[in-house]
Amino acid sequence: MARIWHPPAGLLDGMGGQPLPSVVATAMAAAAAQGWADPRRLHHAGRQAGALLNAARSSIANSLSMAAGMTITTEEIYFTSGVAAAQAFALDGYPGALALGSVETTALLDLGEVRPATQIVAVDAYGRIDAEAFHRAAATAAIAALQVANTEVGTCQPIELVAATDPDLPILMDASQAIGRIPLPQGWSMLTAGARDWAGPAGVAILVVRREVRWLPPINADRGWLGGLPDIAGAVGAATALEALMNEQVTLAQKAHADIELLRAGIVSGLTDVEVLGDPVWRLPHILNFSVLYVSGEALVTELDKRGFAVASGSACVADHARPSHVLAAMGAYTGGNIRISLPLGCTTETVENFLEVLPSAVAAVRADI
Amino acid sequence: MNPQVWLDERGRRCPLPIIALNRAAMEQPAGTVIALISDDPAAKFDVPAWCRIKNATFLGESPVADGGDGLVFQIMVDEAN
Repeated sequence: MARIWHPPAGLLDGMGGQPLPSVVATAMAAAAAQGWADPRRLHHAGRQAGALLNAARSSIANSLSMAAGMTITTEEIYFTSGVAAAQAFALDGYPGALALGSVETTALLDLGEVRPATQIVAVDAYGRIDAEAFHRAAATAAIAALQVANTEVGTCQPIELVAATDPDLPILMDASQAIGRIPLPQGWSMLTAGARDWAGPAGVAILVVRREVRWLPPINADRGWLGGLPDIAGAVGAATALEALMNEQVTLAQKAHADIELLRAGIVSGLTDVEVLGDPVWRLPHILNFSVLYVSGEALVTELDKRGFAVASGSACVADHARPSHVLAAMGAYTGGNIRISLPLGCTTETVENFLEVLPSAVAAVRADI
Repeated sequence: MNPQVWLDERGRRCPLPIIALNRAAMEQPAGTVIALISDDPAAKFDVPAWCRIKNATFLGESPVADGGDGLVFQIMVDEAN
């Protein structure tokens, strides 16, 4: 089967976005042409839009059932505009104290800050929560929030252990970067993910609420869309992109896993004074994070860009608030000269090999410049 | 323990304070205590991490004596450095 993902050569920042596959763009254009009306309207155009939205919702339910290894029904799926919005809706509909890890997204940590009695649990050097400490926090928590895996360093969280230890504590699980990449853990109650993670459109995310969860939608969830008018074309694009990924998830994950192993070995052997971060084994297949001593992250990202490679960084000089990534800080990792690689879908081994060839000279150039 | 070497890296951003610290550590014998003054927000994380990676001992951080911006980080050079 022909691959549908064609990221530009040199793109090693898949989390920062990748071009929409043409099959997704085509499906979205067709949906926009037919589904332009408000699906609440009873006239023909409204019903047509409603039918497209329903079909997208049911397709997402099918794909997610595959990803999660259990049956998820159409009624359990909600659409909204982004993962942070999905998390806010999930927590708004489920009051009570929140327990979360210190490496969750800043958006989720912000939600925790305005909620009473939130407990933030520390992580180890790999960025994994201490399950014992989480269990102690669970004693007074009404709900837990955890990522399947940290999206900056790739380390998986012990979701199934938390679920088995505290079976009555519902888990709001952020499956960002994990859906279609690894089999999802069992034991969650609510799940969030963004369609751009699977090369779908940027403005669509999903919230899944298992039927048995006592969650009340904080606003009207008309036909499964939370907040504003439904983006019919976006929902169709999200569904089409996820179907395509689920058809190939196993081969893609194996390839990404091997390419990251290649990168890890090449970085350690090709550079001096470098620290590769995150769990080398229990991790997302396509993410690698490392820090290079005695260079600035900004200078290294710029130097690599000059040489045709797009990468991200968690160093303070690259971040928005002149502070290093809170994830690296929580891990006790070296935050300077940081490089965050996330292979886009369809990334070629050639791109990875070419990057390894260029990296030592790029580092040398930046170090010589200081 | 009184530091034998003082590095005032205030006003300089990552990676310059760490480069200065590394250079000083390489020049000094094992057991030397180095104090680094830095107002770089990354130093709080990167000085302890550098110590871990380079086998130096992180002795702690304290406010600057004159009450100004920044922190004083103290480290001890180890045999393996």
